[in-house]
Amino acid sequence: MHRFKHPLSFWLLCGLAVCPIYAADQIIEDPVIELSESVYCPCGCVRETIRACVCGTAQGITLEFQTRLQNGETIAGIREEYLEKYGTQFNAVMLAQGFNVVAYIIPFFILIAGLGIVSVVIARLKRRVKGPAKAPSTEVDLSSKFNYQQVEDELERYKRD
Amino acid sequence: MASEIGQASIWLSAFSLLWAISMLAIGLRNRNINAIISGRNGVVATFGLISIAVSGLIYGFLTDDFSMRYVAEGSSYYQPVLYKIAALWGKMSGSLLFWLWLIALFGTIFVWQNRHAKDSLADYALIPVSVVMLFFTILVSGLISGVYNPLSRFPNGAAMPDGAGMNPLLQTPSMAFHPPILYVGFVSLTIPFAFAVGALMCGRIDNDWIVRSRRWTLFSWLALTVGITLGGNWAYRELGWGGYWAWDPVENASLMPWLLCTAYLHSVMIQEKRNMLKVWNIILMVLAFEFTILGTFITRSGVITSVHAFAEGDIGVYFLSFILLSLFIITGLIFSRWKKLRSLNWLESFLSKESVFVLNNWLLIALTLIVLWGTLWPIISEAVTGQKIAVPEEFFNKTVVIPGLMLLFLTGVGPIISWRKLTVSNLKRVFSKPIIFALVLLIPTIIYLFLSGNIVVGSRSVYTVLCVFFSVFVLVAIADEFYRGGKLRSKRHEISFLGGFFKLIGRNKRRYGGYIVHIGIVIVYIGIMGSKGYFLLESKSVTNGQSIEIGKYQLTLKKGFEESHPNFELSGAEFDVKRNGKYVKTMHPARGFYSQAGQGEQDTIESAITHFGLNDLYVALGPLPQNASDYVSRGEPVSVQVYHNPLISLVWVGVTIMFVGGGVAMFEKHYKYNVKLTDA
Repeated sequence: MHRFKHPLSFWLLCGLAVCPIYAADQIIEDPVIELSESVYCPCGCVRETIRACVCGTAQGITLEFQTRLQNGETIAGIREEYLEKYGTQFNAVMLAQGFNVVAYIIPFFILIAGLGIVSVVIARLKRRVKGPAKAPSTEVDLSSKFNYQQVEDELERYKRD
Repeated sequence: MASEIGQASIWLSAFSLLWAISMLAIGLRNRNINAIISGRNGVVATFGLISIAVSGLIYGFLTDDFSMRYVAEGSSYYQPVLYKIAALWGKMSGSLLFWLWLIALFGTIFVWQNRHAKDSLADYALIPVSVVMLFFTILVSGLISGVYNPLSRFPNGAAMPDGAGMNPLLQTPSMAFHPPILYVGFVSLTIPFAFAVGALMCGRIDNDWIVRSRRWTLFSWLALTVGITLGGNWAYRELGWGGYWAWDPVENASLMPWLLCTAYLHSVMIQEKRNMLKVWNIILMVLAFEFTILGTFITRSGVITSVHAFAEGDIGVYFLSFILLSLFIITGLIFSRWKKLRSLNWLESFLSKESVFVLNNWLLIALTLIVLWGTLWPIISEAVTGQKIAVPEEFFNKTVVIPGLMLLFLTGVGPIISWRKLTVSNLKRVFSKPIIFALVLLIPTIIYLFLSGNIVVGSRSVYTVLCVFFSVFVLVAIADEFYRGGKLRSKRHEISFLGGFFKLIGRNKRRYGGYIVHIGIVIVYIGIMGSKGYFLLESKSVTNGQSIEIGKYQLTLKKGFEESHPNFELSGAEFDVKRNGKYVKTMHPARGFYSQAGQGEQDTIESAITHFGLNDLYVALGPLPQNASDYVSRGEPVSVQVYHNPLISLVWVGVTIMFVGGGVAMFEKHYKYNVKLTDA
């Protein structure tokens, strides 16, 4: 609970909570577009969906998709057959299902855990101020004294303003 | 003969480097200046030797010496001179030689820069520089499997009648400059890395290494920024999918060191001003360097499929071993200096510039880890499930958007928040104006989103609103900093505001150069928001006289055309473009046909791009025969893809501003140093 007293952490956590990460990005109404955006082209280009690729293979596959959809086949069925034929590496949709859930969770874990670590580091660095003052190190070189002077000047200037 | 001399030079350079490392180690241990000078000369001699090898290879390209294996695989008689030279880094072993030459060049500049140094930090730093050079020398020497010596000939005096030629996709001006600039960025990071390791080795872990490597770090950062952007620009123009960034593994490999380098450039200020985060800065610099090697591992090892996999080979294990071994040694060095690395100061408040910089570092590291995670996910997934997968762009877009937006906000908070402690008066004075402006400008954004129907598409509108709010906040915050500072200077020196403004920048180039970079970043964000969030795509097959519509534009196929070039033939289609029914432009998308010995016939997409203000209309053609004019006039269908990319020009404009800002910051004068030799 102590960490939540830290206003910046609290604010950032609120930011995280507010952003609807899994919200749908766009409602795709055309089933051909939906299908052709969900699989990669097998022509030799790397990671271009059937919709984005301008090769002849993609053109042929789009026509095939159109015909099959008109014949009443479902998007899921056509996709499944496509991935069976060319391989799972041609799947352009990575749903948060099965083992892929791990892929989606980890980035947010990194963010949250990182925030936790940063909060602890900042809190520790701050807490030391309350402790007994330590003897100044002899290692402070001239540049840091110079920089320190700059900081002091800057603070003075702000006060005057 | 050039081949033999070049090969001998590479071999000699290995001995020269061994000599340099030994002499530097002996000299520094025994405080023997003659040995140290001999070590420095070893590095300079290596540069000379590697230059001979590189010249030999370029000579082979220019004279079409197809008895040299690397020349035969990467060039041809008909290749223009620019691409014959660019073929030097077009394939793996040549690119490694070029990398080695750059380290040798930077090592030599480093020796020259530090020739009058009163302490031994630079000489300690020269040891890691030499070790990295030695690693690359071994790679290109032909001793290890997976990479052949780029100067070697075919066995038994064989020679090909003509070379296979460079990959047609690479035969564009931006590809002639993008890889070397990116390499410059990667390789120049070796110097600040070497300073960090040198500081650990000699035990002088004050601010000295940071100040002395600052210009190098900024130089690397600038080169990486330009290199990454040129790569994006190449993808946009050449690959035909209307985008500039697809989270391809190799793009990611170049982005990760950039992110780490950016984090370092911020956190280093805390060490300089407050003597804090010493360990962290060393770790950041080491990571930035290691990620350049990791990037090479990803590019060259072939573990991950990429559009950039032009130069794969079986050398991943060497790169991985180098990364692990160097990390092991550096970790040991850090622990051995742990006491000296402790912070000398403490935070006074959570709400201070120091805390914001720490948060900024957290976000940049998080972004790096997320990108790394997504890049390596296909390997992890295949290992667990046995299924091959490709991580789509969507995954990255979804996972980086939140830290990206938070970072954007901090881009404005960082410059205006005070050091040590944010007081209530400081808060009111510097934060109120940007927040009010940002809130006011949100109203037209929301109205636009509502009127255009975009308000219903979920996360996109939320991100747009946040991006606009943060962008305006940052721009106003920084503009206010410039305004107040410029006004104060103009008053003090009794000069015009503009004079005061330039005086302000001149007095503190690092600080205000940094602010200019922040302005550039905001503009890039707006460009990304528009081009990635609101692009339109239409695909259609049209015959002569038929039209394709996209937004308020209408493109009508008029005729086909052909064009002859020295190394390729163009075959394309001419489209008249109307905006709101009024003719505005004719566009000429085409396919390029490269007929070169060894490669058969290859065609490339030659997109047509027209700028309408900040927006682009982008047209790419599907397959087309070489006689397009005849084909189109017969009424045959032409497959077309048209993209409307809003605000995309802001991406290039923003990066240019970043470059200018980085350049300004780079010319900050060094602080004068007169420290006593305190080496261990």
